[in-house]
Amino acid sequence: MTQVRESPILELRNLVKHFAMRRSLLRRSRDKVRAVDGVSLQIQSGRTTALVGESGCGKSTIARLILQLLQPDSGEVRMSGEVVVGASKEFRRSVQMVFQDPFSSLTPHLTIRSILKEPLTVHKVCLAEEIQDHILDLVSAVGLSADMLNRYPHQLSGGQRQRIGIARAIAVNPKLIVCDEPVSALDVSIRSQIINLLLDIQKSRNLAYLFISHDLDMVAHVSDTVAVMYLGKIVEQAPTETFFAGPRHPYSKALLASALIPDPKRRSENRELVGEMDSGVERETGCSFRTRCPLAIDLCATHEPVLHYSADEHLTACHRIEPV
Amino acid sequence: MNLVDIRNLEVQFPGATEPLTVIDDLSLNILPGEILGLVGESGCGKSMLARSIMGLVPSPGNVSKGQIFFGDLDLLTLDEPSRRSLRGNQISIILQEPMTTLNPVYTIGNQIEEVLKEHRPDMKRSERRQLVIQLMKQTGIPSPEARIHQYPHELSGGIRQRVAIAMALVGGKVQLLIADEPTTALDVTIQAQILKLFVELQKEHQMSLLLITHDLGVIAQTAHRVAVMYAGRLVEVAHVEELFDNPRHPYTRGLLHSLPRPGSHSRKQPMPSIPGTVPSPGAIPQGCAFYDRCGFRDDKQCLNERPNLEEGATEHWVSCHFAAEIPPFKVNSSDEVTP
Repeated sequence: MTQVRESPILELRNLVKHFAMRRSLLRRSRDKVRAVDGVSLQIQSGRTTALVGESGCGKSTIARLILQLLQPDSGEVRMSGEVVVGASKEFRRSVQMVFQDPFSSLTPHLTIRSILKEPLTVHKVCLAEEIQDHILDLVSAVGLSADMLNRYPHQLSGGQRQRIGIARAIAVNPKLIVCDEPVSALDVSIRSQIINLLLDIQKSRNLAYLFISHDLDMVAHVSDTVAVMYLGKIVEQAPTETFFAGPRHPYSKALLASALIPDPKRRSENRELVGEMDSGVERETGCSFRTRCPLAIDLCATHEPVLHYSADEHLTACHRIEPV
Repeated sequence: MNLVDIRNLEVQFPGATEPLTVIDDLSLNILPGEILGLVGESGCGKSMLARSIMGLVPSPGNVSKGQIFFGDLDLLTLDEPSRRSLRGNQISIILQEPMTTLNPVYTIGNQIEEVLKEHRPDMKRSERRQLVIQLMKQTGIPSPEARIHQYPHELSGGIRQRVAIAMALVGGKVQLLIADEPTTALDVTIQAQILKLFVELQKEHQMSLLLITHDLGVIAQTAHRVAVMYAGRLVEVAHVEELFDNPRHPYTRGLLHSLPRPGSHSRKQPMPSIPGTVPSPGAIPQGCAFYDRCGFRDDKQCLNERPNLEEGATEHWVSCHFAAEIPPFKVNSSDEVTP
């Protein structure tokens, strides 16, 4: 069923993270937000896995679990086959992050030179006398000139700042970069520049990306594998071309249909999905998407669907889709 | 007859040495009952244009030149009480982030009612409540009788935006609704719902909608006409189909080229992009504002002479010296944007 391939650089096995809701100051309620509820995912080296879903579906919690900023309630994160517990220095060096907002992710009172120097010294990437050369290499790798180095973040445009964010991430030669909505805060004319840069350094450095995004057109362009999340669970996962050629889960279909086509001749009437995502708190039994699902049947209310292969390499969690 | 007629508008902010011009000699009309899309990147002046129409240009900025006609009224010469009676009554605005639009310490029913109190002081309390509930129903808020007592933080982003829309329409005589990035903060499935609501309300109330966005998908799906802004100037105005089929300004073409479209670029290959960044006010090139980033420029005219917004084809206005000579637009011919 699955093809033999090299072992993944990062593997998530059945990750679970629930957050307790606090009702009042003194009384802790027993309600839990199931932010991540049994997620398994693999990322191959040099490849991009996209994680798609609406706000509140648990995408960013997964990013934080991978980066060891949160510890899972159960399940494990494996890096090159080994279980990761807590962030060792070595682990931090191999996994880096590019943030959504280039305005708040750079320290405002440090020059660009100091921002880039910090990871180099902390992780002893190179000898002290090589640091300046290394910094120059980094800025030119992200397409900026050396005169940026003495400036402060507020003197740079959004696109330039995001380039510095990328330079900082690649400074320590990581194997995996978690990109959390890396272009959604940027202007349209700058987005494709940054995407091109990310593709470029992926190729030259054999980097793996976890690309978190809600922009399906962008995901179609940059990723090798797509995983769609709804309320803490992956509901569909497939190679990018397979996924976009025929998404199967009703939620994936609705997501694709909600995307606004930039063509006034293709104005569709029935593209809206009714309702909104639940909060993830008061979930009973069954499929969490059933309240909005056009295909829901009685079974969906009583039994929770599990991910199964509905075709070669195509995983779907839906009762209405036959397993192979 | 235009509903809004903006003539040679200029908005300036004081700068270190000389004033910074954020809207530069802009003329634009809005027809009754149309959805006019206004596209541009952050800092291009599109929100400032909305604020100028509302009469809410933040200090120390000021409208230094031009006129804005609303019907027969010149908005810029009106006194403050008359403007106040227009605002929220005949001209309303909806902002991007409904969480910051709404007051966190009042119930939403209270907040919608407050607008009514201002504009219809003669109305009875019970009548007001009735009208508020009716309006909430109209904007698709489920079970309005219960929601009326809720606070903004208890609502989802989509419902909050519906409340903001209800609030904008409560005056009852809205002729111009300005929506400034109304769906940017929302999820895609909710965005589609809210846009549909806008189109329905616009038809029902027969009002004009000025839809400000940076998202060409939003424009393509909703607008009748489109105006494209760049660095405080209008660069192209046309009907929506004409603009997407036959964009004449190199900036518009660059934007359309750099959209990821399913199937149009091969996966993981470089995407077409516009080089460089938007110039900041005060550093705008002397001739054409797009000069630094343009693939069609010449070193004489474009460098020195500012192009005027001129009508090339019927109702298709472009400000580019080479508007007539630029080849027909093809989605995949990306050579022009990555020189």
